[in-house]
Amino acid sequence: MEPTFLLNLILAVAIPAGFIYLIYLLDLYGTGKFSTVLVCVLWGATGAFALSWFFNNRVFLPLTNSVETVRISWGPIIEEIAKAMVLAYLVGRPRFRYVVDGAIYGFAVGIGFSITENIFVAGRGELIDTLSRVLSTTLMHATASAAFGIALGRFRRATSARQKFLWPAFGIVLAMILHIVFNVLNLYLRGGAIVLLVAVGIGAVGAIFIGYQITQALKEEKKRFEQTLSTNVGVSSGERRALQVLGGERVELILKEMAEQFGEEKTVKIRRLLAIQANIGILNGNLKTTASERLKKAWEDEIGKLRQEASQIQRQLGLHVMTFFRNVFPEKDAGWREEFGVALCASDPTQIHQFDLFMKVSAAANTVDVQTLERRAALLQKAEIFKGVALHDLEHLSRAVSERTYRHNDILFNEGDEGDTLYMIEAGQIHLYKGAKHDEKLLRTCNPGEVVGELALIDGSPRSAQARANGELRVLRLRREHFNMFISSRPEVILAVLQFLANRVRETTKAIEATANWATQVSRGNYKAASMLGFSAPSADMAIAGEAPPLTPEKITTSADTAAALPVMLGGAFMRVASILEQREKAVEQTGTHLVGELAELPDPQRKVIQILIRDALSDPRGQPRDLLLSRIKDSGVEAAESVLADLVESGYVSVTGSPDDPRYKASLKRRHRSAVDPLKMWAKPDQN
Amino acid sequence: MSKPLIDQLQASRVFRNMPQSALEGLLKIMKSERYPAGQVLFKRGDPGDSLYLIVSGKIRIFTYDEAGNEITLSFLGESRIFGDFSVLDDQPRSASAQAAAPTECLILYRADFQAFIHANPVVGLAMMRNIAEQVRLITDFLSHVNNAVERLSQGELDQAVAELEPHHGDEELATLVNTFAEMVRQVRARQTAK
Repeated sequence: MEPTFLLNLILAVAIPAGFIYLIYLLDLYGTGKFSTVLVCVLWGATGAFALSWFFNNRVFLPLTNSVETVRISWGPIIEEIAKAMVLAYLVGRPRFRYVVDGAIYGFAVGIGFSITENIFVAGRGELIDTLSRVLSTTLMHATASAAFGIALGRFRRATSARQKFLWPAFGIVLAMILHIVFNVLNLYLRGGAIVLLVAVGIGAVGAIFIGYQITQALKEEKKRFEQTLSTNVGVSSGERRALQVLGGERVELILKEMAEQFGEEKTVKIRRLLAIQANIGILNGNLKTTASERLKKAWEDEIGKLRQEASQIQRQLGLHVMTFFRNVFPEKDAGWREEFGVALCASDPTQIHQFDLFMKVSAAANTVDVQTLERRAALLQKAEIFKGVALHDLEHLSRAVSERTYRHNDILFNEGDEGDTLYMIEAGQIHLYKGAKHDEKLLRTCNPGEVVGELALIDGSPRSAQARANGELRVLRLRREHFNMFISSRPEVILAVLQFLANRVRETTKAIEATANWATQVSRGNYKAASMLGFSAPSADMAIAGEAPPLTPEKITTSADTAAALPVMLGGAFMRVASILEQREKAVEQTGTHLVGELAELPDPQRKVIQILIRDALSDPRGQPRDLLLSRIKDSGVEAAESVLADLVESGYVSVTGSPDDPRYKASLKRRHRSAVDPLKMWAKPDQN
Repeated sequence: MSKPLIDQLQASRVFRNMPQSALEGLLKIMKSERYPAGQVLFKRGDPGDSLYLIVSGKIRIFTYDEAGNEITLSFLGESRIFGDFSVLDDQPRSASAQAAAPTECLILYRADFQAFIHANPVVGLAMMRNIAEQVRLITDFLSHVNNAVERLSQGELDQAVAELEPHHGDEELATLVNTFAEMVRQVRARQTAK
């Protein structure tokens, strides 16, 4: 084999193969896999060429008797039809979705066809001739088939029957004309540089044509998405929420379609890219509002980070998807991008800065001056729940904070109300009450810097107490709805709140452990050790602040709204109760039961019975069952136990429930006499006794 | 093989009710580590920055008394989780952990966890609700403890026990209720000794 022939042969294969490699390299293989592109190349190189060869040499050549006539009439026609067959097959499949797919698959068929054709006609001519011929025929075949592919793409999206007929017809005729014109030109231009020029011309025209068609198709794709997304204009504000949900569903529809086109993995990236762009738009909008330098810098930093992530994703997405993306979501159409962002937000609120959008829509962003925001943020940061949240985030969140003053006894919320707001005291006090109006108990007093309703902000469960202003009160209020909006798209704030919650669980767990220890020590009668546990129960930072509520016996109920104070209260209770129990036991051991006042003057048997009743009351103030009681009275040496008890009932010292035959019968000392022997009173103040 | 591990995560207090897909993602970022018997994983007071899920083997959790003697708190077996709150905050370890047998663990480091939450804020939000619910549960229980203790001081022993009775479910709380009831029995016995 001659070296020039070999070289020409190599060129004949290498140039088309180079184009295929380009498609692979640029990730241009569209909807399907790269294997679909190879199928097209293969068909062009074998089936299409064989069919054409057969018809050209066995049918048309004998018919016309002229190679030239065949080359400028029947040849191009049968070749284009043969190449088109695989595209006609593919257009019914899911991997052929739209114009871009058609262009790429058509291009591939043409390349395949030209490989075989080039090998067949490879001669011993000059290098420049071979180069120009290979390049020009390759480009011609590719462009012609791509034109038909594009037409098929149009056909796939056509809505009317007329269009469905016209597009394929137009496409195949266009391909044939292109082919014939090229062959005619080739016939009159005999090789050399001029053919190379023609080849370049064809390439350029083809590229412009394909490019134009793709842009047009993507514009239509964009329009289609816009229509899918668009919600009817002129809706009332009440319907807006419902429409937003609808918008979310429609976004999912569009993204589902993209997933069919580009695959799940790339669609996840497209979704993220859309979210990033929406957020960049939102943050740029934020920068135009009144905000401190600190907040603006935070926004700028975030924009920088998002840009970085975006360019990384763009590289991962590849040319084909990015071409699609840039055309369907063009940078200059900010309105459309924002609309899509809002809809995306309805579908997944954690990806888009929904709070910022809301502030923009509600026009609340510019109503508060920088100093106020900074003051509120500084106040909020004192609350445990916001301790780990950055100051600039709190400044931002403060736009949703409202300030309010209450007069003495004004109600902030009632027990059972939905917990939808956090209150932070700026000045004054809040009293938390539990129970009905005539029988309410003060649970806790909250002072400036303290917060009420932290947990409600997270879970929104009903209020477990009533909150009233004690004196003049000024508070910052933050609604749960706004907080949720703010936090959903800000993972670093979520992490800070998680840390707060984890600390809370640690504290309560410590209190549980302390309770177990306390119970064990009391069980063993180690009252000193038990009362020492009172000091270890509260967490360190709550005990030192001096904000712990005063510990008084009447505060026996507590609630989730006073959660923070619980360990402190428990600690106090442990100390106090341990010593009460200890004193009571000592009293029982040493002196039996003391009687005072008129009870002490009763006749001996009656006094003994009352002492028994009092001692029983220590273990159960509701009284004792009849049989048990009578046997104990007899044990103490009192004869006629039943009549002594009956006398006491008659003279009004003892009350009974149920008749003597009733198994639920119980006897106990009447309440008004109990105070005279109340163990608490007697033993808590021994000097009076 | 990851099914029981996912179930275990799903049953844990921090990842409760989390969708399976999220937990699969979490398992993927956990790092596997093998410990020969006797190796100490961490000591009390060490900075805590990781959660452990036991794949196989046994872990001994222990601490020290005032004299410096080791006190074993518990043994944890296959598919148990410990140190879960360490991924949420940076508190030092409250106890030490040692492999009681050749043990394989999956470890979730705080930095990886935080990156995961950045990519999946939904998981963070769900965790927030989980833990808030737990805080409420324990707080509610503690308020009953508080009431019970006050009842005790009023001499209302039966009511004190009754105050804690409706609580169930949580193992730790149930143990405490039993301890409390036993304490009331002892107190009653002493107060009615004569």
